[in-house]
Amino acid sequence: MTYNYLKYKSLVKVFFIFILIGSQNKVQAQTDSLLQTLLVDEKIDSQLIAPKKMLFTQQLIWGEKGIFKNRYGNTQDLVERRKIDLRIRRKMLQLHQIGGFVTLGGMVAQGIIGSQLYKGSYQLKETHEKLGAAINLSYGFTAINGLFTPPSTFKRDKKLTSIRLHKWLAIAHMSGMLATNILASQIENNYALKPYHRAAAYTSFVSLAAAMVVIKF
Amino acid sequence: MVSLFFQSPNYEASTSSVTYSMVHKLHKWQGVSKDLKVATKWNEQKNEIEQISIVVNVSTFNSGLSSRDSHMMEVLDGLTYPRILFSSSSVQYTPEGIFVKGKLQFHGVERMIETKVKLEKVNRRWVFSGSLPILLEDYKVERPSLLFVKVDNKIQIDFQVAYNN
Repeated sequence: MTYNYLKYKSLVKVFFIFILIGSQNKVQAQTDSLLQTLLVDEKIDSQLIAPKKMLFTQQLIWGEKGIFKNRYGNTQDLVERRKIDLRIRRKMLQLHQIGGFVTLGGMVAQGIIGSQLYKGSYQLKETHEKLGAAINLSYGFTAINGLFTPPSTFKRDKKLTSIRLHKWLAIAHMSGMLATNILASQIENNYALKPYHRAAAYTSFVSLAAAMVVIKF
Repeated sequence: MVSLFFQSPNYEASTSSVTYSMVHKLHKWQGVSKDLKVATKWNEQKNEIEQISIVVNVSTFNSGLSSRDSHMMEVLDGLTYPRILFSSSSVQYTPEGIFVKGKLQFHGVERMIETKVKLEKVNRRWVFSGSLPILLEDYKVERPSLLFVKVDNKIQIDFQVAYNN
């Protein structure tokens, strides 16, 4: 008697479980069919897979006539190609960020050594020159990873934005870096150029630091 | 029961939107998409939504900064997972509000979510609005960083879906 009752109870349980699963599947199917009405095939916006607007430096590498124009051989899948480009872009911009920090750190150290040199600690001259070369290297690395990335997806800003300010400041620190290096090579022959060398170096430092501060996501 | 609508209301795209809010230690920002695709199944006797599905393309979000929107496309693998999908599994009208449960598919990851929706009548328009927090890492999104500081894991999603009749 007890055994039959237990058997009956478990059969009822199984029956209800089946009903529950069945009704859930029905709801799921209806929901999915509603969603399916929205999932029509759409043509991908050409801007997303082949952006036309880009810096001339990017055009040089990634443009239609750029150095890497045949980078994917005969692959016709434009979406797949663009996915790879975006991964490269992300990595390069991460390196650009790291490079910026390393360069700025080097500039701070150079500022300290440089000021000691100005005060007459001439034994630091060689260190100053070596550090200068290292800063040039890390600056160049940072610049390459900023200027030669695959192009971004959107370029629709009309007004002044943080990225535009970042680019303008880049012109300032790049000019400063060039001036600092040119003046450094002339100082041997003309000591009167020292204050201008220092001013150019400070301009580079300040504009690089500002370029890092203004940048937003 | 008093009928709110004489016929099934029509979805009104111009006043519907989805907004995300993200936070970084240095600043906060929002991105808005007004390009929602919505399919609604109405219970015409009760004049209530029975089921709703929403699709938004990742590329339609505009935060007012192109470079940021480009980064979002990269972070969210916008070419691999171009759409954010929501599909309700239950919609319950209660005196406290409307409780919607359903599947949210974001960055290729599907999770069940539940949110409370507020219904308001604005002129001749019915506006359903609400918000829900989601965690980027729940959806396997690698949080982007700036100055070596990652954005907050939590993002706020605010939505507004309007109908007219």
